[in-house]
Amino acid sequence: MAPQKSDEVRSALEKVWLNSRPEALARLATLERFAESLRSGTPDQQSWETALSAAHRLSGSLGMFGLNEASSCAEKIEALLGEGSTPDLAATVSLVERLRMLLERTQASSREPQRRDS
Amino acid sequence: MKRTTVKPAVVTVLVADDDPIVRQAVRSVLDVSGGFRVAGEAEDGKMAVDLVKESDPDILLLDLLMPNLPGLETLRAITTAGSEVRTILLCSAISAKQVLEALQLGARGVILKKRVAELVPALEAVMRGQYWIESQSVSNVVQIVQQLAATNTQPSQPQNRFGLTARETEIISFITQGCMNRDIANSLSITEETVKRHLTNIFNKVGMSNRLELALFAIEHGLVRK
Repeated sequence: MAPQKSDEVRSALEKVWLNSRPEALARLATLERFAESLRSGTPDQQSWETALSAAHRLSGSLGMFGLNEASSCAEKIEALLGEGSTPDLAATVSLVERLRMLLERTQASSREPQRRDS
Repeated sequence: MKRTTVKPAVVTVLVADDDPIVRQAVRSVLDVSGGFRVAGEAEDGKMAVDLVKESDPDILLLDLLMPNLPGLETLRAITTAGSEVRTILLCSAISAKQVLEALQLGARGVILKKRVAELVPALEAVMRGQYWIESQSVSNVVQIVQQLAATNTQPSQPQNRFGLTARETEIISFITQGCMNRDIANSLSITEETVKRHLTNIFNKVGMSNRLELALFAIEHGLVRK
């Protein structure tokens, strides 16, 4: 692809990310609620499935915006939740907290440059 | 009508993914790239099958994990229905086994979501009649095919069908190993021209038109020794 087109594609994806960031944070909140329910006992099946879906969607979409480390973190959460048995509390909480930190690194305002994962 | 490899003025694309963020990202990439039009969006597999029938797009971008009907089952339904839409899997992750299954079901390519910036080159390659597997050439696809050859459950003795000669079967075996014509020529102490002649005869006998199709066909029909 020509460099100009490549820049346009990158710019278009950045705009989509800025618009999608609130939804991504809402998905993260779903994961945080799941981690909280895990802390207080065995989560119900529905919240488990909702969390799994949120992790899967985060894993796929974050990668599209160059947020590879965050995407990889979401992928690990998805794998943990998809194992079938009750996920390890410490591992889940640690990964969800890391994902929060990685997403908060990204800027909510288009006026500021976004920090991209390596 | 049988599709040709001539690229139309505007390539129509159907995007099938349950995540609206992914659909929006794909739409944005295609909008700024020019020459593409999103013909529709499907949020599950069943909807994708219906929309392919309704809108007859040139290309279907298909997610693997979707509600109602998973990606590969969606692809199977579309292929079985006789659609000639060119399908590219757009997924977060995919195993070699799934790639092979997708190719056998008629997929023309695979692109990971994290490489969505390569979407346009992928679509253009597929519209030219080529395959697109993670930015890699057809020979790499054959290497993936070779992995299946190592794990499939075909009989250990090759099946002598389609009127193939022993030398032709030997050449097919090299093709499934990802060998190029020069390698085959060197191994068999024949010229590359002779290899090409053999390949032309093989393609005519089995009804395939390229090395990837031949490799998949050979594995599926047990034409090569494990």
